[in-house]
Amino acid sequence: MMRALLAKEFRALRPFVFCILGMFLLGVAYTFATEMPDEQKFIPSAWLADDRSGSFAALALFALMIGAGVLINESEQGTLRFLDGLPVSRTRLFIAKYLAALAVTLLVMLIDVPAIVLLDWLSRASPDGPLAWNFLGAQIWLQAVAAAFLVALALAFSFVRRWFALVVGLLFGGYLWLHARGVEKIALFNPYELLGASFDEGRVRVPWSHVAAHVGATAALLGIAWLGFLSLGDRAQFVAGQLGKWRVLRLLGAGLRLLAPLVWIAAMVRIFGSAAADEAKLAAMPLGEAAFAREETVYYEFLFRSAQRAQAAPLIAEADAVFGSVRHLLDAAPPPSRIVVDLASPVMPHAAGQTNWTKIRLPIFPEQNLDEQKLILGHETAHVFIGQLSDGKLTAHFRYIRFLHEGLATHIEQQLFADETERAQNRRSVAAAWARGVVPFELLCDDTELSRARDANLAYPLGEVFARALIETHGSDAPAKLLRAFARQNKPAGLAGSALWRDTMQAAQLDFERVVAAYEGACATIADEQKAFVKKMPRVSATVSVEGDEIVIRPKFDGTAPGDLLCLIEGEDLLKMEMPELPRRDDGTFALPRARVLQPRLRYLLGWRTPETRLPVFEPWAETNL
Amino acid sequence: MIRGLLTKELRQHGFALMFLFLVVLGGLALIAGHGPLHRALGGGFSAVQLLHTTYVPLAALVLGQMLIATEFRQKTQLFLEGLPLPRWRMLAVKFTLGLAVLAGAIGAAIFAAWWQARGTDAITPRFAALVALKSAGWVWFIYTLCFAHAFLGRYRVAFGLALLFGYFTLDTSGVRVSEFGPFALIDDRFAYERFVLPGRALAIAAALGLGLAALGFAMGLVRDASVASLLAEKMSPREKVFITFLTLTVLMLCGYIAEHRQTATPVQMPGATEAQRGVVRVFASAAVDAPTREETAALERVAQRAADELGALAEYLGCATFPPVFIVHRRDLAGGAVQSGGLKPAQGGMVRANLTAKEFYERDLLEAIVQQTLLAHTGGLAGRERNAWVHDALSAWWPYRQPRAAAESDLNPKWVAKARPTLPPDFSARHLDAWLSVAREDNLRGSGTLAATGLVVLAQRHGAEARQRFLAAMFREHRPADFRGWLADVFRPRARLFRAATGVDEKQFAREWRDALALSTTP
Repeated sequence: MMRALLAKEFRALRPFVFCILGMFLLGVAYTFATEMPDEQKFIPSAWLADDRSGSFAALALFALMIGAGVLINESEQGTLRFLDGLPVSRTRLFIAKYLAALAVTLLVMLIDVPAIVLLDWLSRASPDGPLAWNFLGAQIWLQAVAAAFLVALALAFSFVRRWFALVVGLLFGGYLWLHARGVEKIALFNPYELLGASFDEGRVRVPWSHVAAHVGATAALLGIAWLGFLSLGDRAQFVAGQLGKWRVLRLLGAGLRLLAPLVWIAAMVRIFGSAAADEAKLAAMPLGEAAFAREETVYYEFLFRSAQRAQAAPLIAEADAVFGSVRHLLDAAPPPSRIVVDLASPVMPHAAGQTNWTKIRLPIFPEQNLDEQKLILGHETAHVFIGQLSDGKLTAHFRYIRFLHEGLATHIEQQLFADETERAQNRRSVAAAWARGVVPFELLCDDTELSRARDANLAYPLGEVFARALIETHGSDAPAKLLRAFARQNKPAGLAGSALWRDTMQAAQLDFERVVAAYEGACATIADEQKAFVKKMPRVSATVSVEGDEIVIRPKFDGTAPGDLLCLIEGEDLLKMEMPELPRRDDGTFALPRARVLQPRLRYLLGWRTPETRLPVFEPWAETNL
Repeated sequence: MIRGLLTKELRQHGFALMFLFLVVLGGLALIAGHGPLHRALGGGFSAVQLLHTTYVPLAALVLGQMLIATEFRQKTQLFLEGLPLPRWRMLAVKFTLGLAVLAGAIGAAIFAAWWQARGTDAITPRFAALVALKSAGWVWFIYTLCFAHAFLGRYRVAFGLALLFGYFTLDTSGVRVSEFGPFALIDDRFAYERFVLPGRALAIAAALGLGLAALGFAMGLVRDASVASLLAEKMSPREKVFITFLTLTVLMLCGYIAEHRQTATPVQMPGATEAQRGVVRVFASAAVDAPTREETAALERVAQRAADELGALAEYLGCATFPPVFIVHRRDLAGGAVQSGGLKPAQGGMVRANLTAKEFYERDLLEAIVQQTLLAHTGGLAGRERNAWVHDALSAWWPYRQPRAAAESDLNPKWVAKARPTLPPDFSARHLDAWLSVAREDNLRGSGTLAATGLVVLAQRHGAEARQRFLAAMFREHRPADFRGWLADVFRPRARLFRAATGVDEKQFAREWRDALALSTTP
C-alpha cells in the first residue's frame, strides 16, 4: 500500500518535477549562453562565497512551495475523505506525503550534481588536481538535511494558510531578535548557515552542531505537522466554523493578520543590527533637552539644542569660510539651498559626522576644539559637493566609488583644515598599509574586495592619495569633471570596477592610466619615505586555538609594541556591518566564547593603534579553521 | 447610492482599513525608535522614505486585494451589479476609498515624522511641499499599479513576482531603474532635497498612474466585467506550475539581456603615439605628467616595432581583423616588469612597462604583447590548457623568429640551454595536453622557450609552411568570448588541426621534438 501511496503522491507532484527539470535545463542553457562553459570550475571556497545563496534559494523555494500544499490540498480539495476511506492510517499517509515531497525537493539539488561535475570536467586544467568530491558529497548531505528541515517547516506551517505572512514574519523577526539579544545558538537553526561547511587543504569540516540542531528541529516540526494532519477534516472544520461565527473573533483574526506588515517592518529594521552606540559620546550630549534653536549663515542652516549655543557659536561664525574654501578647491557651484547642519543628533558609532545629500549631522562634544569641528565640517561639506556634482548618481556605484567619496573628502580636509601633524599621520597610515601588501587600483576601486582583503577604512588614506594624484595629474578641476562624468546621461550600463573607471575617466577627458600610475607611484614613494616608521611597526600574526569554551587568539610579533594591539572579528550581524573589537586580556591574548562563532572558521583583523597614524595599522584579514 | 456603497465598503473593510492606517504609524515608531537605524538614516523623513519602499507597496497590495480581487474571486460583485448604479461608479468608489486611505496613512506618517524631527530638520514650506508632492506622486503610482494588478485575478501573483524580480534584476545589472520616474521620487534624496522639484519624475508618475488607473477601470468594465471575472477563476495546479515556470523563464531572459548589455567600452588614449600596419593598430602612451624626450622616443620606437611585429603576425596568420593594442609606459614599474592592463577581450590587449628602464628588454615586451593580443583575438580561448603550448610557443617564438627558414636549420643554443631543464624526461604528446603542469613544474621560467623550440623543430622537420598552416588554423579566426567561441574551439581540436596542417600526429612530433632537443648543442 505504501508503494501505491508514494506513486499517487509522485503523480500529484509531477508538475513540480517538470518545473524543476525545466528550470535546470533553462539554467544550463543560461550558463551556456552567458558564460564560457569551460570557466565553471567547482571551487569549494568560490561556491561558498558566490553560489551557496543561489543553491539555497532554489532549494528553499521548492521546499516551501511543495511543503505548503502537500498536506492541506487534500483537505481543501475534499480528497481527504477518499483517502480516509482507504485501509491506511493518516500516519502512513503523512509519511508517504513527506517522503514524496522530500524526494522531489531533493531533485533540485541532485539534478545539479551531474552538471557541476560535467562543467568542472570541461573547466579543469592539469595543475588543478581532481574535483573536490568530498566537499561535493558533504554539500549533498547538508543540502539533504536542509531540504528535510525546510519541507518539515513548510508542512508544519501549511495549516496556517491566511496567517502565513504573519507567522513567517514572526518567525523571522523572532530569529533576528534572539540573535540580537545574544542568543547566538539560534543561528544553529539557520539552514543557510548549515551549508557553510569549510574546505581546507582537501579536508571538509562539517558544522555538526548545525546538523544536529536541524535534525532535532525537523523532528519537532514533523511532529507538529503530523498532529495538524491528524486533526484535519470534519472536526477541524467544525471548530473553525464555530469560531468563525463570533464576529469579535473574526475581526480580531483579521486585525492580527494585518499585523503582518508591521511584523515584517520590525524584522527588516532588526536586520540593521543593534550596534551599541558610542555610549560615552552620547552621554556627553544633552539629548534630554527638548528646546531647539536654529541659526542661518549664507550657506548653512544650523540646528542645535539651546544648551549647545555657546559651543556652536564659533563654528557657526567660521562656517561660511569653510564652505568657501571647499567650494573653491572643488571649483563647484553652491547647492541650490542652504546646507542643513544638525549639531544635535547622534551619528553611527565611530563616525565623526555624516552626510545625506544636503544635510550634515555633526554632533558636537565638549572636548572638541574649533579646529577639529572645522575639519569635520569641511570633510562633510566636501561630501555635499561630491553629491551635487554627481547629481546623486554615485550611490548606484557605491561599491566602486566609496574610496573616491571618502578620499576626496579626506583630501580636502587635509589640504584646508589639517595641520602638518595630521597630514603626517595620514601619510604614515598609507605607508604602513602599503608595506603590509600593495593595494593596486583594481583592489582599491572595489570596496567589497577591499573589505574582504584589508581594513575597509583604508579607503580614506589611500583614497586621499588617489584624489591627490588625480588633481596633480589633471588639475584642480579634475574631480569636478570626473564627478560630472558619473552623472552623465546615456552612460553604458553594467560596467564595474576598472572598466567603469576607465569609461568614466575617458568620458571626462581624463587619462586613466596616468592617474592610476600616479596613485600607485605615490603610495610606493610614501612607503619609501616612511621606511623608518614602518620599521617601528612590527608585523603581527597569531595562533588561534579552541581551549575549553573559549577561542583564544595569541598574537605574535617581533620587537617592541608601538601601541595598543587590536583584534577585530568579522561582523556577527546579518549585514556584516559591525566588526566587534575583542578586549585584550592581561596575558596578552584575545578570547571570545566558542559559542559565539558558529561556523568552523574565524576571520580576524590584527593591528596596532598608535597616535602616530590616522587609522589603526591593520594586517590583512586572517582566517583560521577552528 | 454612492453613500450607500461607501457605507457597505466601510462596514465590510472598516476594521482592516483602520488597522492599515494605524500600522503605518506603528511602522514609523518602530523605525524611529531603532537607534542604529535612526542614526544611519540621517533625518526624520528618512523613516517616511523607508515606509514608501516597504509599507506603501504592501498596503496598496492589501487594498487592491481587499477591495477588488476578493470581490471578484468570491463573485460578490454580482450583487453590486444588481444595484441601479453604473458599474464604473462602483469601481470609482472602491478606487477612491483605497487611495484616500493610503494617502491619509502616509499623510499621517509625514505629520508624525515632522513632529518628531521638527527640532533637527530645517522644515520650510518649500521642503514640506516637496516631501508631500513626492509622496503623493509615489502613492498615486503604486496605488494605481496595485489597483490594476488586482484585476489580474489568478495571474496577479505571477505578475507581481515578475515585476518585483524584474525590477531587482535590472537594478543589480546596472540598469538605473531607480532613476526612472516614480522611483526617482523616493530615491536617497527624498528626505533631504529642499529646493529642486523633480518635475519630470512627477509628470511620469502622474501619467503612468493615469494609464494604470485607466487600465484597471477598463479591465473592470470591459464586456460587463466578464474579463475580470474570468481572470478571477481559481488556478489549477498545472496552471500554477506552468505560470511559475513561465515567470522564471521571463526572469532568466531579463537576466540574459541585462548581462549582454555593454559591459566594456572601447579604450581611448588621447595623445597616444599611434602606429599602424595592415589590420593592426598600436597605441603607446606614457602614464607620466610630461614625457621626456627619451620617453617620447621610446614610445615611438616601441609602438612602431610592435605594429610591425603584430602586422607581420596578422599577415602570417591570415587574420582579417586584429584587436587594438595598447602600450603604457610607467616610470614607477621595475625595469623588467611587464604588467597586464586587465582589459576585456573585446577591448583589446594592453601591457604596462617601464620602457626607459635599464633592465627593459623590448623583446620581452613584444612577447607579452603577442600573448595579450592573441588572448583578446580568441576571446581568451588561446589561454586554455588545450591551446596553451601553441599560445606560449607563438608568443615566445615570434619576437625571436629568424626571417629566413635557412637560419632555423639549427636550434638556438641559448634556447636549448633554457628549455632543456623544463623538458620532462618522458616528454610526449600527453604533456602537450597538460601544458600548464609543464609550465608550473618549471615555475614558468623556461616553458615559453621550450614551447618555442617546438615551433622551430616543427619547421625543421616538416617545413615552415606546415608550421604556418598549423598556427593559422589555430589563431586566424577571431573568436567571441562566449559560447560560440567555445564551440568553435572545441570542435576544432588542436591535435586534429596539427595533423591536418603537418601530416603527422602529435605523438610523432613530440618524439621528434624531444630528440631534437637532446641532440642539440648548448653554449
